[in-house]
Amino acid sequence: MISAASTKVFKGTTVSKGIARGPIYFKKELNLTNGWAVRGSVTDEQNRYNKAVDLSRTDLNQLIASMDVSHSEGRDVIEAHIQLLEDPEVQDQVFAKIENGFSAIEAYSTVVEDFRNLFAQLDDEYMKQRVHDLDDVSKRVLFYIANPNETYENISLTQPSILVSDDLSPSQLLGLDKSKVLGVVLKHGSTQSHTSILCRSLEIPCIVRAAIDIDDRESKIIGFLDSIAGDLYLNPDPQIEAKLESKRKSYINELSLLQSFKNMATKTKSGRLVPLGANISGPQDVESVLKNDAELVGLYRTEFLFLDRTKAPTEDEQFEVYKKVFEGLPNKRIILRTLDIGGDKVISYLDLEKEENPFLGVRGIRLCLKYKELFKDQLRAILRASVYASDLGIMFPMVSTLEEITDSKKLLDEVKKELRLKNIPYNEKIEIGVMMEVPSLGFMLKEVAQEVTFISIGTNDLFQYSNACDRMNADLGSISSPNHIGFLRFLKFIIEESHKYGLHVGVCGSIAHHPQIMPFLIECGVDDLSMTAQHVLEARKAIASLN
Amino acid sequence: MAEVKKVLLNKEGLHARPAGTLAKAAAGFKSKIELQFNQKKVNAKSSLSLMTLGLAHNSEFTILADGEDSEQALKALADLVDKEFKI
Repeated sequence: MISAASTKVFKGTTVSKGIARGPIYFKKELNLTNGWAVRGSVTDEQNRYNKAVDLSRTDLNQLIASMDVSHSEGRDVIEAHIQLLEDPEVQDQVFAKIENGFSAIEAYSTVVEDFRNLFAQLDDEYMKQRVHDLDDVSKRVLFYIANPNETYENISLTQPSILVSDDLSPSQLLGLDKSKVLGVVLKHGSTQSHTSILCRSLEIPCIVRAAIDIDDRESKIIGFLDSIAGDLYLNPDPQIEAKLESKRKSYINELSLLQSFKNMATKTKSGRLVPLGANISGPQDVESVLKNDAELVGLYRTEFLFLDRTKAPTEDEQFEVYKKVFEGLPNKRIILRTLDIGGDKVISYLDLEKEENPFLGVRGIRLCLKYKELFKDQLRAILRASVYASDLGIMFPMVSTLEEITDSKKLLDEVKKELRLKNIPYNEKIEIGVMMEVPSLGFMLKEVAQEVTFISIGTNDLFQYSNACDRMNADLGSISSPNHIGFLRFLKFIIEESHKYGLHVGVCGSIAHHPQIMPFLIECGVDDLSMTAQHVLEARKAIASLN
Repeated sequence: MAEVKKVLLNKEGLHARPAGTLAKAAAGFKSKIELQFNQKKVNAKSSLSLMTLGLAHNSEFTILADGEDSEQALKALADLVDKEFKI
């Protein structure tokens, strides 16, 4: 592990990216043994336990009060801890054990241990992690049973430091002054623990499962945490220090440079606007659209609402979800794609036939036109919610014939008529478009343009269908790269044809931010691009340097 | 004593948050309330005990209530299960 004379490097798993330099603070373990041996009467022991619960509750409430109002994630964690603290089953069992002659400490630690064992037997990895929340609460309670006149606080950062510890509980992390926590390095932990989730939301660089050897508790150790690579350096020599410092500077520059691309339109050097959109799949993505400053939503996938359930979502349920998205993104253009699923997915309530070739079978609009009531429920929910959207487009997936477009529009008109009869308002200015993903549709754009106003090229499927290539098949190697001359020419043809017939044309597949293909698409004249929100600022920066 | 059979709709199972919501709601009733799943029966007012049941998506379980407000309790809790614990 030694890379130079006195430099030590420890490798861990990245939880939250960043680079930090500062003194190392080793967290010391608590002394729980004080008062362990003392045992009073049943009433004494019950009071001792009650008092410890009260003191813990006061601590946790103070913690909530001291937290930034905006930090809802942190508040939720601590509120869950208060619930664990007051759990009636724990209290009943502790009281029963004390009545049977246990001391408060013995009773409480036995009960907690029993629950630990029950959690260890669970199959679900996320649920197993919840045992850390119980540990977090129980350590505090045990401390107060043993030391009712002291304060439970074992981390005191006097200066900004990198915190190194075996483990760190969410409440311990939240109890710290964030400005003093440069980074967190844990020997145990997991990327899915509450502490890790909090580090990400607080943007504190963090690695877990680091093979650190916390024996050398000397003070004045300088640490350099590169959580992008997952490395912690202790006492780096000048050479390594210089290398890390330049990496840190360029990382910070990169971040602030990207931030400087916020709140501006995406345009090329020559001033051509290329609006960048985000691909989303529900209300949970609204925040990241705003945070990454996407100019529109180029693809709102609605299928997630329909998967993993025993019956189809009701119209009202869908209405609420669409409304939430529209309200969360006022004044943005939103392209909503209607249900796009097929026989490769198990949908218990649809009774789908098992198909030889699900990707060439009843999917997308083909499925919706087969299950008309399901489709109409969705259209009705979309129309009802549309009054909350200022610029909405409805897009049909997997279209391969003109009839599919006219049939879908007919159903949409039926639903509109029903709503009008019931005096239910909807947005009159909704645009209609189709996904361009079946190759032959690319040669029918003249006719398509008679029916719709926009198309969006779904490059993942279009590539797979035009190059006879399953993109998930790792054995295909470079054949599965979309950087293929025939495919690129096809894209160029589609974009040019669209413009010839007055169709607005966007690209929403993963090549929209491909470093080589994106410039090509822009050169071809694509009207907008849509991608995962996290890529927007980077793409905006790249486009700013194109001619 | 009244009881009702339910199916868990939450696709991630009975995680910490829904367990907390259920326990809180159950605590609002005077009746003794329990949840039974796979021969295991636990106090429904205890979120910790609920989590140890390991209820997964589509698990079928029974809510049992005994007390003066048992009918209201069952109705309220069954509703909560149907709404996937979103209040």
